[in-house]
Amino acid sequence: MQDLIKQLNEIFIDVLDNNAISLTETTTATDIAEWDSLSHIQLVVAIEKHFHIRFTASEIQSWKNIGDMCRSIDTKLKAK
Amino acid sequence: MGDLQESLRLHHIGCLTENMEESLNTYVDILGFKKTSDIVAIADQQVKVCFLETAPGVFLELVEPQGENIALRKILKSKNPYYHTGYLVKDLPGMVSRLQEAGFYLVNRFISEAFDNKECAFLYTREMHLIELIES
Repeated sequence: MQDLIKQLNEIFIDVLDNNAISLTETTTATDIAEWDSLSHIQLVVAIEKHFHIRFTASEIQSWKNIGDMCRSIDTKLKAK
Repeated sequence: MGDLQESLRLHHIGCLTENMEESLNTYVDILGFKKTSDIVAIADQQVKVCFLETAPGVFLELVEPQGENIALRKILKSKNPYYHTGYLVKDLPGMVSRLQEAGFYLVNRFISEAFDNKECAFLYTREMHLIELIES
């Protein structure tokens, strides 16, 4: 989980252009000013490209925090 | 999927501006486009918008970000002001579902004061082009 969060942190810094981002399992969109509905999709696409995976719309909508996002990525990677 | 074109009618191109009055001067006073709406505040989207008719039935939507609105200010900063195209659709929920099945990403669905409180939706195409659907 920590390795995934570390990789996500780099993606978030790059997409949201904010070097101060420090993700944890409980981080949500309300914790990061730049993380809104538009940038959320930009993050999803950047994550998909980075891990070579593809999420469904229902998976994307089910995430409540970074921990949920990581578990979803982990499941996809194990299924490869 | 190729038949979707018949269900989409181009309505407008969204154009970001830092200053609505300056852009109205450019597009109305200089270029002669017809102002067809008041300047409308859309609270949910943190923007003010105004529609100008550029050709029969085809509009330019001037969009001025309000408040923080980090996402739109970031696009504005990138000097790429023409950032979305808007289409009228008869069945918005059905079209959203079909486009999601085709790999588009739903950004949000909302009620827009700019369209008499009709339902609208923003989606990103797979190559990250932003489109807006407006229930007609």
